[in-house]
Amino acid sequence: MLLSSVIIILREMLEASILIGLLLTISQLSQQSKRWIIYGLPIGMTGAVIYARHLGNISLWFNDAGQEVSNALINIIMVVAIFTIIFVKKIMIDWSYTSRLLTFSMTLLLVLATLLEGAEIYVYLSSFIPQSSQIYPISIGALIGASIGASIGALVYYSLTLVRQTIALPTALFFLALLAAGLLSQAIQLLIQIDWIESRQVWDTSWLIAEDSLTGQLLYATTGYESTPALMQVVVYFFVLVTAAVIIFLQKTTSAITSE
Amino acid sequence: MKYLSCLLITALLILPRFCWAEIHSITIRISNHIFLPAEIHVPANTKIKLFIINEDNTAEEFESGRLNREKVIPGNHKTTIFIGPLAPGEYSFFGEFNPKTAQGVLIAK
Repeated sequence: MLLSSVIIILREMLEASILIGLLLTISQLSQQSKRWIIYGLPIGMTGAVIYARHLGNISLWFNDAGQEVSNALINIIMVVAIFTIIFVKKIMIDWSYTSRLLTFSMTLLLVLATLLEGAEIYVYLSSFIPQSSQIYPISIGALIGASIGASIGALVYYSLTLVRQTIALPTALFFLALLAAGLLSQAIQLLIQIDWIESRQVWDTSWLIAEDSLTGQLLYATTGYESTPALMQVVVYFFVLVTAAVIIFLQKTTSAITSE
Repeated sequence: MKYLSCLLITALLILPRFCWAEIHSITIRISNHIFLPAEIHVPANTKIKLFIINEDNTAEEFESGRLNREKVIPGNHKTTIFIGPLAPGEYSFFGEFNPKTAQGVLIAK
């Protein structure tokens, strides 16, 4: 129980933790207030508990497709928020309201990420902790998993704030774009799972990197890696990634031109 | 032209029914953190509707990397997911909350 508890908590926390690390880096580089974390975390956690407690009923919506529809919708909103951040950082110049837009997008992202990942952790813990024999192994496992998860987020933040800003900002934005591509691909997968979208599997790389291996999990959290994606997932993944890369790279070259 | 569009509309209305007819349904129960049956045989290259009934009081997460599926099923709830069409082969799945006992395999032939 201890090991599976570590893995479950770490897996759920990893993506949110990396996202928070990246958002903190962007805030730090923009010399913008990080107060969004103070609003976002408690709202997200409360939302997670409410969502988890109603998961049984939500799952029944749309002929047993409620869970997928709401998760896909949350993923799509997160992708829009990530693109807002990329746009604000690379294209908009008017600082009077962009700063507010940036804070809003970051708060929204934090709330939704905490809600999604937190709900699953809550479902797991509330299900198994009441079994008295399991309290210690599960709680200790959860603590270990949460600590490793949080450390990886901190590692992202500290390593990115150490390098030069001209490199750190586009890198952080690019990693954010990778998360967005993964989130949208995941939303498509959820819609395929409930038969709202039809798309066949294109390849199988599970022999190379299995999704449930450590490498697979790390790649999933950072790049949205899937060993057996459907065609539609691959298409939206690269569409998001290329669009974001163009915005990030384009502005880099124009700012380089204007500074010359 | 009119006939052609009529034909097209009829085809579009009928087509989903043909697709629907191809769906193969199967039920798995989760009891005491074990999948019953733990081995499922399904036709290859066919869409499959999987009913999962969680009879335990605790939640379970149905998960499979190769099937590319993941879904939380609260305790004493049932759910539906669609999988496939699958190439012939073996696709393992497990319950993430109880990976030691909740293991299963789906065989597409």
